[in-house]
Amino acid sequence: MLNLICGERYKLYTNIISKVIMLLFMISGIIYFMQYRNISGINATDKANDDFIGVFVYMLGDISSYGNEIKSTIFILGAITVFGLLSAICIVPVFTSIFVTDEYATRNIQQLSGKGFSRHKIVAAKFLGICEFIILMILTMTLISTAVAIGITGMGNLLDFAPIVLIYLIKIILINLAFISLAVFGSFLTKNCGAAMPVNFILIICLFGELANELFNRDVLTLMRVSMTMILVFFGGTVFAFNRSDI
Amino acid sequence: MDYVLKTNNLTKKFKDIKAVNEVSMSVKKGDIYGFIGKNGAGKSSFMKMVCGMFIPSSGEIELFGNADLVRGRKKIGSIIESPAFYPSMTAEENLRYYSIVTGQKKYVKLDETLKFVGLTGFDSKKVAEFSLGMKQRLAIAIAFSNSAEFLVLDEPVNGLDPTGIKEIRELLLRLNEEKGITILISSHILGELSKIATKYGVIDKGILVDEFDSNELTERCKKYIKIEVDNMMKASHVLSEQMNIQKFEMHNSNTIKIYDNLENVALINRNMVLNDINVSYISIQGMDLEDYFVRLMEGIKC
Repeated sequence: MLNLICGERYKLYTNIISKVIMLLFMISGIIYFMQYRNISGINATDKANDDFIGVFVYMLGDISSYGNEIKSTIFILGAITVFGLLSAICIVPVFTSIFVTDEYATRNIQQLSGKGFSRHKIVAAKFLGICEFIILMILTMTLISTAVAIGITGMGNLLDFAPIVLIYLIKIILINLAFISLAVFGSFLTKNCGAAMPVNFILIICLFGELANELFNRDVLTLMRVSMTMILVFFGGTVFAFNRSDI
Repeated sequence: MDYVLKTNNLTKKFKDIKAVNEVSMSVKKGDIYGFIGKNGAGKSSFMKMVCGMFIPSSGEIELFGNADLVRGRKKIGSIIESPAFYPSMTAEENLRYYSIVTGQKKYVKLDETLKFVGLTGFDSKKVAEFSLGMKQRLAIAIAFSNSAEFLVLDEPVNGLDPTGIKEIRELLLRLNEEKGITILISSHILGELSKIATKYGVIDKGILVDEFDSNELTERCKKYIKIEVDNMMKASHVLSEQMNIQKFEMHNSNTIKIYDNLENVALINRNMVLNDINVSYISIQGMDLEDYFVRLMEGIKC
């Protein structure tokens, strides 16, 4: 099992598609960082009448009680939310579709099966490999945005807000994991990229898109329960279907 | 006797159609087993069941004398239908990936494997840019990269030019002789198959209709002079006493099959006539391996 996960990792980091996705993520990151100027302009008395500032007001409640030192935290939370949700809604369905169905197209899934790997291990390795990649992307973005925020505004009272940042990070990761299990299910079910991508978009955006927003507003424990249930149902469903199908 | 593969009444159904119908066959350690059959006869379905890609509808599979297939399949390498690899990676990266997943990253000598299949010097070339022959050789390298003891190869020379076919044939023979790898191979190029296989199985409409070894095949395809005469006793006397021919058989009331002196058809005919024996038919019979296989597949036994 560990070897399979190592194999997935090796493949991910030599794969051109993962490099392209990383690059796109970075480009969108740069665009986001350019918005920092907007944050610098936030005043303690600002209300949620501006769309961009409204996001942070929505996240932190009334920001008028804080001073300008909150800018770093707002910036980091903004990065986590924007990139986390961007990852869950856009990157996960595309990336998972390509990464899973490519195995069918190149027949490597047959080769692995022929080499004596249990099917549930093949699915698990694929799921964990994608999870690792997405988590790594989110963490990278969080670190970069933290560095940018500290570099421009200074530490401010960032440490006071560290628990809030951590909670947002956990929430975003949980949402991503749940959506990865959904996309893995859709991809293994359809087996081909042309079908997997629309299926995953329909599943994630139409059926569960609102759920992401809903979950984000709940506490971590509720979010964890819902995410774990989704992972169990969809991962279990994938293993069940994959175990009983010819490849 | 050591068997690498044994199946018992192995069956695969697709709805009401039996793609593989109660096939019981065995592949001995060290054999190169040629699996012959028309398109859709059930060869690939059988191989896919052996490799765990298809779930059998009924029947049993034993690998290396054991019913634990997950364990047995760890010693199998396969190419089913077309080679499996990542086209955006180089040959070495592909091999490294399979070495990692099979847990050999610290021990496997990738260069040695690439050299064995003749793929050295393509360090930066992506597999997508490889020729078909190179892809097949890489697929074989991947197939035995997990120190496989048994290779299951479905049409490994499909689409290759004669040079490519020869290279793959030589590679498979080397794998069999130098590394002792047992091979189950299917191919439509029957003449090629007959150059390497030690045992054959013929499958038709999912049923294993015949099994024979290479000696038996040579025997079945042996050439002979067929002669039809009116006096069998006298003819046999002429052959054995006057012409000193011992290898002949008498069939029916007027047919003799002579397995010797194939170049002396005219002389045999002359001696018969000189001894007042009427010859109503004389000709060299028998067929090459390709013809034999074709007739077998058409359901006509020699």
